[in-house]
Amino acid sequence: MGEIKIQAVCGFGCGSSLFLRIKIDNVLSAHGLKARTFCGDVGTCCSADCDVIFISAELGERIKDRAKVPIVIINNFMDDKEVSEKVLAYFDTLK
Amino acid sequence: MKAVLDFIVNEIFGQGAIFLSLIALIGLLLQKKSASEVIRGTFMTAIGYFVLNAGVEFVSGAVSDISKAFTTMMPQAVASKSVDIGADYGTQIGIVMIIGFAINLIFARFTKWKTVFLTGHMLYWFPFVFIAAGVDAGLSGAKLIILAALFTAVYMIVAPNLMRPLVKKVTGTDSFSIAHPTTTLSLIAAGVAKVTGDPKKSTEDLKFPKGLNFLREVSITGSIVILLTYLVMSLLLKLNGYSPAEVLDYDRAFTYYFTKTIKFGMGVTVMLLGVRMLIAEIVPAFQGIATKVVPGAIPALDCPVIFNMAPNALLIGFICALATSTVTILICTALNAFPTVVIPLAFTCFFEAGCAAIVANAYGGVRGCIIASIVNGIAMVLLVGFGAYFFNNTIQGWMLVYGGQDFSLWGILEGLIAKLIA
Repeated sequence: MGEIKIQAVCGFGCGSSLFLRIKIDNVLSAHGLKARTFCGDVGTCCSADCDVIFISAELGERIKDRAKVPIVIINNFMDDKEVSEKVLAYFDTLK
Repeated sequence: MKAVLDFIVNEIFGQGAIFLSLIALIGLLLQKKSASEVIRGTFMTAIGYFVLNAGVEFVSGAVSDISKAFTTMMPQAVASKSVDIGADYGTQIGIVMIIGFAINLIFARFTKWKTVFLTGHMLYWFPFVFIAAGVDAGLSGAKLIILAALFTAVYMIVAPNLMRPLVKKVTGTDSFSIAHPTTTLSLIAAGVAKVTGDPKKSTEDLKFPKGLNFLREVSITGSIVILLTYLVMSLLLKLNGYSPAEVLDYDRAFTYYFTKTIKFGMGVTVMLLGVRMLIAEIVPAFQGIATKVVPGAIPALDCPVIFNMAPNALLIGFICALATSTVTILICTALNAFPTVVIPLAFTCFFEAGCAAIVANAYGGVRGCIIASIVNGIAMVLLVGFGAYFFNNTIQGWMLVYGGQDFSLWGILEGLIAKLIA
């Protein structure tokens, strides 16, 4: 398996998704995991090349039928524990 | 020696793309990224800079014909000139961004105002607006940079600290604040809702039709609003005895309206992509520095982080603000109140007024949310309209799409001072 590409998504792909991306990066480095993370907006995220999409609950609702990759719903972008658990759970599914 | 100095001053620091990539490069090195990541991020930042400016050009271009139609009908109106601030002043924007953020960090470190401004795109847009307000008033050189940097710094410190109690009221926690131009509208919303509403009757107890969810795709909603504005303008031209085809210079009506509309949506999409590429490497570096330098910092974030607290309030705020702002625009246009045209502010109604509506719901429930959003719909039109006196030589076209909140208010304040010292 090549490099894993994680897309963090919000409405504009500039603000809250960037913050989520930073949090995901923190989890990755804390657990010695390797992946490339980048941000996307809800309008174009389904056409961007990635292996998994991290997104908020209400926006996830809108792309769940179109996305070709697994979607991970983050209810609270501010919650370190939730982000950490869900990132690790995603990596468990790859094993 | 002189040639080397000239090269450094004009071709490194004089090129916005190169200067901002340098910031990204330093940021990537500080984060100890691998060599390939460093090279990738540095190049992407430079490309993002040009993508962003192309997007701004498309957006301004898509609305420029609306201004043209307006000035044709109102000969006393002043046609907006356009200076490409992002492209011509990229380096100044970069310098102002760094100085503003550094002052913010110093304040967070040594005073009780602990917020650190971390909304990526706003770290770019506020320096952009403050440089534009200075250029518009005739400032240049060191004066321009100093005034814009001061305003950026004061804004980055004051606004998130004003938002902090409001965010606490909405979320019940004090762990973060909001760094977003909604501050003016959110403060109005909190005040109005507190007086007029009842916090016990929350918007979130209402049953709201799910079908309205498409409204949340703002590049689409924005395009629809632009299409309607073009149609209304053409109708007004006809009623005033002009030929829309002649004034707007098109052969085929449907093709013209269709491409104008889609090009607006395209411009918005391109702009988002550009901002994203430009800030993707800079903001994580800023955040890394902030966590090291400021213990106990309160991060100030983009407004959508509280959108999940009250999605109904968000939509109610958007619809109420869009309706009242449109009515206000029609009244003001009929009264000839502003020197230029104002068009419905779809983005401001969604993000800024929407966030304000969530605040209003926390202070005054359904009634507070509706009344506050109506007041905000009027306020944003007045801000963009009077802002025209301060941005008409530079970024009025951009303001017509993204203004009507702190951008306008703080830009007006800076413009007043800039005119005194110019």
